[in-house]
Amino acid sequence: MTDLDERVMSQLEDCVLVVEDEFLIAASLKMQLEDLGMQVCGTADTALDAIAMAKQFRPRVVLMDMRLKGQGDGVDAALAIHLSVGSKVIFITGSREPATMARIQEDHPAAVLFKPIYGRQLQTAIEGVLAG
Amino acid sequence: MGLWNWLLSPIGAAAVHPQMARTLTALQVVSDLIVGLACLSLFAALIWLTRIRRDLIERPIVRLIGAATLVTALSQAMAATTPGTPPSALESVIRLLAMGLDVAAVIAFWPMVPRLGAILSERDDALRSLAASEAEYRTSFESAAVGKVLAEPVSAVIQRVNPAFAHMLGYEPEDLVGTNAWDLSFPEDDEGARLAWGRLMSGEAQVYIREKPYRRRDGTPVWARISASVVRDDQGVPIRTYAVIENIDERRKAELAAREYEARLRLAVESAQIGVWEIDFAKGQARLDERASAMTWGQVPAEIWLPLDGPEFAGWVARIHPDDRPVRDAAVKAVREGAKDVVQMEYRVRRPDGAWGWQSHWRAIVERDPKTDAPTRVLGIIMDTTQRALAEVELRATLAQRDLLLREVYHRVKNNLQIVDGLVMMQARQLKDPTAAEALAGLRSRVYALGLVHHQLMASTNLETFDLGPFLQELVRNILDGGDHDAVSLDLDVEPLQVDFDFAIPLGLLVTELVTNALKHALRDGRGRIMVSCRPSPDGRVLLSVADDGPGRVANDGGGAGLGSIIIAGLVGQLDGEMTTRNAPGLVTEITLRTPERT
Repeated sequence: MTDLDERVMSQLEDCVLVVEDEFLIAASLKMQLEDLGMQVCGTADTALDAIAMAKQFRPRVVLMDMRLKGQGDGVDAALAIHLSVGSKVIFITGSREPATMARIQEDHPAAVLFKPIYGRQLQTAIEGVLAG
Repeated sequence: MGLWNWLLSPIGAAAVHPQMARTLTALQVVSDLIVGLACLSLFAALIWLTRIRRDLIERPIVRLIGAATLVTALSQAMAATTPGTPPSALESVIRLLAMGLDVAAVIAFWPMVPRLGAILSERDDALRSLAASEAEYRTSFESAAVGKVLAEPVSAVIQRVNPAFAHMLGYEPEDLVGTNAWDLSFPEDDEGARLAWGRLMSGEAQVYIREKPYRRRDGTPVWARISASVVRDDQGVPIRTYAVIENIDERRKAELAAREYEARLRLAVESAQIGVWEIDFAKGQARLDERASAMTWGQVPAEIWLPLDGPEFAGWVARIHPDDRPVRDAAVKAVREGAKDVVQMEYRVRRPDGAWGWQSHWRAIVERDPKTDAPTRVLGIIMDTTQRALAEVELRATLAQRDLLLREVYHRVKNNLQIVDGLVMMQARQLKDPTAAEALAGLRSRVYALGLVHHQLMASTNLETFDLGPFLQELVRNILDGGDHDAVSLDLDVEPLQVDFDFAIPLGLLVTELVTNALKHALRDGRGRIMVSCRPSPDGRVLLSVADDGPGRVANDGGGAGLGSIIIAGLVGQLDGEMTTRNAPGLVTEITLRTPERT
């Protein structure tokens, strides 16, 4: 970890931002996270909301869906958040298509999860991100 | 006086024996007359001979002989009329004249004798050679391979035929003599043939040549080529016709077959809009037909031999897409060097409007140098395949669109299953009863299996099948991750097997049930080993095996009333399977399934 990373990370809050435009999926993710003993600082359903909330709550981890409502996709939001806040971004995608994967790699994601997501997968991914 | 005196008495026998005078006189008269008549008859014979063969003796000589004969006869006659008297002065003059003419005639005639002899021997030779040529002619007529016919002119009644002609029609030669040649042909053909025959008879035509069908004895046609000529007498009246008849049935069939083949070929070339062209390597030139030329948009003019290294062809090659040129050049070279007899190439060509058109191009060697074996002539065809290429592009786009839509469907199904999973999870959180919570956890893992199938399909290239190995790996790993099973290890042994939706769904659910059961009943303390294998069975089916290293137990083999039992029994049936279980010492469940045939 570089000094900059150290400084940025130290300023982040121990909470998770969930970015997902499907309410039920967002709600279930939130519950799973809470079951894992984590605090969810909010859920966003557009890229713009996600960026705004990330700036507001400074979450350590962002769960980012690829497809979002409105303008921009998950990668757009992740790039902006990564730059302005420095949160680790875990992508959640329903697709394994090469185009989507290439797009995700633009942001050097901390982890990629494929729907449907089980509790243990989510826990492993988040623990890995927080440790690394 | 002896006999000698009597015979030679200078005063005459009558003077010696007067009693014999009358007898001697009569003898003299008769002999003179007979000699004169004999002379006349010889002359008549000579005249008659020279009339039928004017070339035998020249006319002046005949006249000389005639005059000599007449005058001699006259002198004999005069001598006969005045027996016993001394000749008168007139008679003496005539005798003198006769003597002179006779001497002249003999002198003129004798040189003719060797010539007459030569003429006679020539005639003998001619007769002999005539006989020989007659025999030769007969042989050539009888044993000729082609049919020969002698017929009466005008009527065309057959006088003589050879075996070749008779056998061609299924007859023997003697069957045909006396029949009318017209009876051997088909009436439909007669009109034109009779007109031509008439022209031969009238002398308007020298020969009669015709190809027409003759009728065999069995009524079937046989095609023949007849050439007839006519022999005429001095007055030009036809006296005999002679015909040579050649069997052309095979040739005609071959011609018809060739014509049919050509027609088929032309049809193919026309319907496929194929341009044809040829190269003559000896001349270093090539020639395009109209359509091939049109496919070059007139860059190479049609129906002209043009040098291969000339500006026309160079301009054409310049139109070919640079990316396609190496492949084309290699194909062209292979034919030029004779390495390949036929090549096919497809390339893009810049059209006059600037767009790229597609052309398919075949070249075939049709002639090689007999000594060096190097190709000398090459035939080429060229087709515009732009429409097909565009259609292919369109088809590919349609397929891509279909793939996109199908992926979208799979994606939405998965998303919905995620939502279902979320709902179930939220419900489970509110339940206090552990049994109920466990039931919902089971439900979630089943839903997961369904979602995973769609996930695999979405990532597969054909969107219809995927490999079983990674699917089972992920499926079982997920079940282990879903609970507190950190110390359970997984042995997965799956042979590559492409499965489709209809096979993967029940198989995935089966594995889910069996693994869940093992975790629940055999490995309660969260440690142990699960072994999953799937491989072809010896009887050509698929053998699925799920085993654990627990203490062994009574299998949940479908006989029970629980949901898991019902699902297992039902899915084994759906896959035409048979299930056996044994403890070794942990429970081993083996299911033989049908192969995942694509329907």
